[in-house]
Amino acid sequence: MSVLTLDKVCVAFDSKRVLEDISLRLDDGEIACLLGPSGCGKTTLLRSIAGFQVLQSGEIHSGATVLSTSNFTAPTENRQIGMVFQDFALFPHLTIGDNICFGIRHQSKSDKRQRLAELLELIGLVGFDGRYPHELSGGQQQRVALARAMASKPRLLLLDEPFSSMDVELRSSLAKEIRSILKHEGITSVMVTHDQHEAFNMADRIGVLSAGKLLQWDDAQTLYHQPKTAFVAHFVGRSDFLQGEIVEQGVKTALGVSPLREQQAFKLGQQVNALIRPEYLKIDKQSPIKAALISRQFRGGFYLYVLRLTSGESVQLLLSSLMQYELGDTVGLALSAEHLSVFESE
Amino acid sequence: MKFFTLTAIAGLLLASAVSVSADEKEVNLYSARKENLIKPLLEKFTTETGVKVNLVTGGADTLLKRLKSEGVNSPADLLITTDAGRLYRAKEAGVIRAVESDVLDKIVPTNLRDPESYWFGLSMRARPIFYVKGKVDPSELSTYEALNDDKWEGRVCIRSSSNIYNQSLVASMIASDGLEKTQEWANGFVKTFAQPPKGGDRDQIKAAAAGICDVAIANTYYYGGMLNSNDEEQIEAANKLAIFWPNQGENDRGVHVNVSGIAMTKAAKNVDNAKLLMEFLVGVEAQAFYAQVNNEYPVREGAESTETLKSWGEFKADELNLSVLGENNSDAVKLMDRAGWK
Amino acid sequence: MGIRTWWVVGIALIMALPVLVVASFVLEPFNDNWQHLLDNLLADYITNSLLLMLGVTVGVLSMGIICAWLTSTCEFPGRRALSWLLLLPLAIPAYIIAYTYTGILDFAGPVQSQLRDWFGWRYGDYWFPEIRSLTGAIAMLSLVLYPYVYMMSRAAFLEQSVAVLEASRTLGCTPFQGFQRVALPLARPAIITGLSLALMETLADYGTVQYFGVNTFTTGIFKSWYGLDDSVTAAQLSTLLLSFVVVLIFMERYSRRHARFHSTSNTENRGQRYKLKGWSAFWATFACVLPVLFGFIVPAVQLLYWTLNNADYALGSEFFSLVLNSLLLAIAAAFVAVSLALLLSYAKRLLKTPTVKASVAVASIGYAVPGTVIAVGVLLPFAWIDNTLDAWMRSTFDVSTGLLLSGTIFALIFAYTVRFLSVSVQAVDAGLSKIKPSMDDAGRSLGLSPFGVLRKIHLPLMKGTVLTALLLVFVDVLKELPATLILRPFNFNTLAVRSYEMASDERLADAGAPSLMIVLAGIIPVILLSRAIAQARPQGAKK
Repeated sequence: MSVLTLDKVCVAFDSKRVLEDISLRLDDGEIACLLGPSGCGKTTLLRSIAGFQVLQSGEIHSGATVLSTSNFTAPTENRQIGMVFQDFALFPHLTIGDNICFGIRHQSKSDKRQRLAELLELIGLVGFDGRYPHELSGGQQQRVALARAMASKPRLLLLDEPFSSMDVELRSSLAKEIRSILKHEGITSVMVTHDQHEAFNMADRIGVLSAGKLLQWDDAQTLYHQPKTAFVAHFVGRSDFLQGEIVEQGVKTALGVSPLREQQAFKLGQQVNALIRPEYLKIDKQSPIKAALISRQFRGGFYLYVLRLTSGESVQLLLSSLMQYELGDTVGLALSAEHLSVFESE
Repeated sequence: MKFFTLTAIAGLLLASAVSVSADEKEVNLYSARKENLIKPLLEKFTTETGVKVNLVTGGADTLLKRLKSEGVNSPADLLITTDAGRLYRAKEAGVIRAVESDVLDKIVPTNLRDPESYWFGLSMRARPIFYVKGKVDPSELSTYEALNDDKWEGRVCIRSSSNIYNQSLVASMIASDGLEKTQEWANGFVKTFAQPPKGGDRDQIKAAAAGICDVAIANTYYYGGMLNSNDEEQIEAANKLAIFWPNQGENDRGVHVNVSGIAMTKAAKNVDNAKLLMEFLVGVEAQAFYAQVNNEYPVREGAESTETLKSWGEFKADELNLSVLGENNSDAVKLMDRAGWK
Repeated sequence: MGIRTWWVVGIALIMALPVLVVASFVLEPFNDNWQHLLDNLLADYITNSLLLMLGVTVGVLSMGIICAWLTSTCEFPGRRALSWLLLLPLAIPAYIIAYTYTGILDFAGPVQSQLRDWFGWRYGDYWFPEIRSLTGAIAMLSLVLYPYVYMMSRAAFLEQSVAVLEASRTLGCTPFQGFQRVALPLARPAIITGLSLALMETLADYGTVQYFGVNTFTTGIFKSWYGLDDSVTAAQLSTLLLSFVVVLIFMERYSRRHARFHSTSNTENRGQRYKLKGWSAFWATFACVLPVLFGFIVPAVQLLYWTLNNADYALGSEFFSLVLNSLLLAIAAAFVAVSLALLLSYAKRLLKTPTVKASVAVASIGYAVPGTVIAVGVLLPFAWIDNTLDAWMRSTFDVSTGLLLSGTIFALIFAYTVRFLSVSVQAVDAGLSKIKPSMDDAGRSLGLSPFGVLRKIHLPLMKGTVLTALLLVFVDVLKELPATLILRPFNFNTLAVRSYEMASDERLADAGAPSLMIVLAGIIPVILLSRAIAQARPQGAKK
């Protein structure tokens, strides 16, 4: 069953469109991420779902319930949503326990207490319920914010850049932790982020937004390997583009001829750009395709090399740091990917 | 910084606003009498004598406190109060001095000045009973003491016991009837109140005129002020009432009176000028001013009266020396408190 | 203790001197008058004071908070104008509003007379609320004191993180529930600040309650002094009043010792105000117009009527000097008090020691004490210093220095500062508490001295707060009467003194002109400053 359906949602500030024709569906228990650079409209989209933002046109449904249309906006408090804010927005005047229980209504004291204990257990903060928010670390506050949003078992949980104020280490561990909590509770969620790793870590479905448009709505795999636009390709991972020409067997680039990933409607002879990700390439001494090493970055387990092809184009390549190549070396390159995605040249 | 510059400028302007020159010919006056009721006289004095008068007005008790704490260095030469009780306190506190002046001795009646010439009354006000014409027959009234009769229950308007005029009135009754009898009287008198005491003397007269009560006690000059007001309502209200002079019986003491009075401070430096001003204030012209401006009775025999004052008729005033009012004041306050006089 | 702590303690002690002088009378033996007061009066006085406080609390909170909430978060006709109009009653002294309403609503006043004319009633035929009563006093004080709560809570509402309010919405709160459960508790320190200012003024009030015949604890103080000629008992009673206030403040602080109120969130874009339509818009406008109407327009019109129609006392040439004196005094005192408040509040934040905190608390206690008592507290030590110096100079150099401090503008401004320091300290504290401590640290880490942090970080952030504090002290001094009366130099009058002299002589109509001038002199800065405050407020909101 669809917990959330957006149908051609448009939002404008004054006369400026910030969201255009956004349509998407989210099923029960799924975790979705809205990914995009800052200013792309993803937070506005989240706030529209929350009911803080009035629609210019389009509709938002939850199951059979209409949440928003251009002339109706169901009050936030009636939407049965939970929300985790970028800066947590914990109530500074309430204890952790009171913060978490804030949204639980119409329940007996003992039920409340039980739910609180359960949530504290879940977020690993047993015994913290009498403290105040300012007495907790950022990560702890984050988890409290999550518990508070989940406490009343909302139909939909919204998370607005929940990890933006954390350090990298904490981010990925928290992301995993929170994903498992959400899955454990079976809560359908929408998260906003500008970090693709977070999105990959968390999401079942990812929507990439740019300039108010939803470019693609897919799972992580598809998004990474079959991006619909060059922007998506670039945004979700390390990428290089090589000039190519459509030939009968696929696409011809500086790396030779490769089959296309899917049946794309390109004319023979059309000039295109082919997406090359670092892991699509391998070193092959036998290969006739030679490239010169022009830079290298140590990444712990890996080196990230940049190689210049004879065509003058450059590509990136990740190699184990156990093997070392020196700058200026020339190596043979081969394509390990079976298919390539191509995009129209601009 | 701009902030501090502004502060400094404001300070300088203020300093210039206060200009007490080191004039040789001056006299400094602390006055509990309101500025508009004394300033015209002081200006006249300056024109006539060339002596400048510097004035601070305020509550009598606070001026007294200021005088006490400033001690020998106090700039004040003279103290004016609007009741004799405070002058008695000033004398007790040792901040005023005796003044020998034939002029003052001659003009100010003995009961209206300190027996040892520490202070002198300047103007007199009586505190009679006012009754609503048509509702009360003057023959029903006789004395303050008789007001606690059952027949007046719920018919009397009078202000709070925290007011000095009531304190003085009761102090005079203590002097005449004794503490015990006055207490007994007050215990009964509070039952005659038509409403809990509130407001000033004019308010009592207004309340009577409006029908809340039939009898009110107030100072004469307030009544006069209403009669001569610009406000139609006040005139109308005052005209509904008439004065009854109580305690006029042959052997009775007379209506309660009090004075506004003057004393020279112990710290006075401009002694001659101060004395000059004291004598000026009991002069013919000054005495007439009290009557004209504030409907008070002059202390000077034969001073020019006004139509209003004359219309109220002659009366016998309590000749009790007013120092006694000061002596009995605390007792009077406590007595009224015990009686539940709010 | 460091040298800076000593400085703070020193300044605090000087500010607390008048109060300490008064409190020192506790050491004097308690005399018979105590027994008299206990037997006959105190129970009644204390009951009245408590009822008065309770009533004023209800009054100022309901008016102040509702209007602050409406003008800061909703949009309705007249909101912009009302948001500063609501400050105007601040310009009206409590005793003056009491006079005007008595004039209007008293038995002999126009309202009741008109009713009697229309319906042919006579006294006793009908019921009419008695203005000169405890209820009346509560109404009068609430009408002129609610702006403190309004001002403080409005600032708090405007500065609250929108995210926190939105969070409450996502947790199932309606806008009103969000107000009740989040916005209101978060604004608590600000509201308490406003309330405590209002209550301290209520306790210190004498003019209104005396005129209304409501005997409060303050009546006891003045009865002892004026009636019983016993300033020792008066001082002891004042000290008792002070202790009561101190205990109240302490209890409130204790009850929120752990909770924090500065936002854990960054202020985000404020969402649009709730746009009210139809009846709800009407009621919002109505609710905000009422306090302005009854707290300002009605009394001002009555004053104007008195002034135009039946004042036989016209303001003459001295009028200009009255206005000038009043304004200059108010400006000077406002700047002095706010400078000191900044210094003390900042010291408290920086040094954080209990000694400093206690010093600041002691320094700002003067507000709860009736102005006359403070004035005496200023009078005594100043005169003592003057006389001691004079005696020493005489004996040593045979030169008399006379009174150097007593009866000068300096003494007067000192008294104002002592009395109104609390107002400015509270306002500044409220502003400072909203600046996260990490900002201080950031400033210091970027090479600023503590003073540099004050100047470069806090002052710009607190411009609105500082202006608020200036405005409050300014208006308070403009209205101040008892200390002015007792401490002023020769030939120095202010509007408040003039107005009081007329009113206390029961010439209300003649008091109209100077009272109106106080109000007018108060309005202009109220308007100017409320604009400046609005502009100075960090506006992340309006893009």
